[in-house]
Amino acid sequence: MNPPPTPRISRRPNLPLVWVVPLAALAVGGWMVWREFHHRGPEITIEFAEGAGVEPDKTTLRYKGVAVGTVTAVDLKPDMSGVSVRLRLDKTAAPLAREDSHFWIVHPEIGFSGVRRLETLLTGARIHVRPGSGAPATHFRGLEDIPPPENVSAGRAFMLRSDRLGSLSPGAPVFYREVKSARSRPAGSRTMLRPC
Amino acid sequence: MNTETTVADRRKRTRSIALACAAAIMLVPANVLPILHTQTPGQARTDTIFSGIVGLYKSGLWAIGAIVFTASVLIPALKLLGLAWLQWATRCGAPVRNPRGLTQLYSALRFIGRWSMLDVFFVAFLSGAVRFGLFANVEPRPGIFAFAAAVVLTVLATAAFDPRTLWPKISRDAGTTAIP
Repeated sequence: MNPPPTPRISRRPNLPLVWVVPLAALAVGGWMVWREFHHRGPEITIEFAEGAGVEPDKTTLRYKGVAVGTVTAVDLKPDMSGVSVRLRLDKTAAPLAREDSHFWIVHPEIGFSGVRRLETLLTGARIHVRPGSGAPATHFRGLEDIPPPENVSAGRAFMLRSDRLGSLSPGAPVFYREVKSARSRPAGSRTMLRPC
Repeated sequence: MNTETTVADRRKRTRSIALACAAAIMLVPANVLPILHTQTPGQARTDTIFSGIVGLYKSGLWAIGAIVFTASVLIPALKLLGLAWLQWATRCGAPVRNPRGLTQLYSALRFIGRWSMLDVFFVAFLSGAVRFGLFANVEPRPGIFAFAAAVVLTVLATAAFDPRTLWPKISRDAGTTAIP
């Protein structure tokens, strides 16, 4: 009978393959946490006279119809003269926060000129932004009214003077031969319709 | 008492410890990252495990909050602590004291392991069932995947632990062979 073969003794220290699992967990977990905090954009503060409808974690900042930030806190200003809204932007939307960016709160509008922004009845008020072109900033003073549209690509803008208001309001349509051909717009301040 | 261990025993120990470490690592993103995003006309909220429990408690659903706390916070922590205790008790060169109690602990850990998946199924069910557009919407968030991975890893770590290492070994000198 042959003697049994001598066993082969290996002196190599071999690390069990199972340690790959915690290393993979570390890599995946670390990547997940990093990605979450990397995608957070800057936090900005906007001051409004009134914060009706603005709620933390709910009200979003919209630009071109896309949500680009969320309100994180709504506080009264120390001198009680208004509210201070803290908002966290998405990282991709960070360029929106420039020195002369304008922010305003959007509510549903129901008036003679039509019904607009009804989805805010369900989703709550939203904040819209028109980015400026200055240096990046973190502190803003919000507008109280919707600003006029920035570029009138087609048509022309006119300023009309009249003796009487005739029950006109911002947004009232202008008709020519019973066809709606224009719409009056607020010119950026409440004094658009001035008695003259 | 024969306290020698074989290479296979050490392999098993290492496997159990490594899986438990991986589970502990995955519990960090599971608790730090959000697991759920709910949207209703009243409010929208993105919740981590802890903020979800606090939210349930504040909404008056403190019983559900207690269940979620038990399943998602208490049980994973107890499992990892229990495993650590078992590993410590069976460390090389130390006789095992109270093998019966420790074996009961081990079977308890094996039993409760799967119940941590309660939270994962909760989120999965809500995400699938509550899809009413603007009225109500529930979406999962990355943290729940980390949590599910952590639960699976704790179950694997518990299964990798060999309870036979808890049994008292009869010394070779007493004339009988060691129980493998």
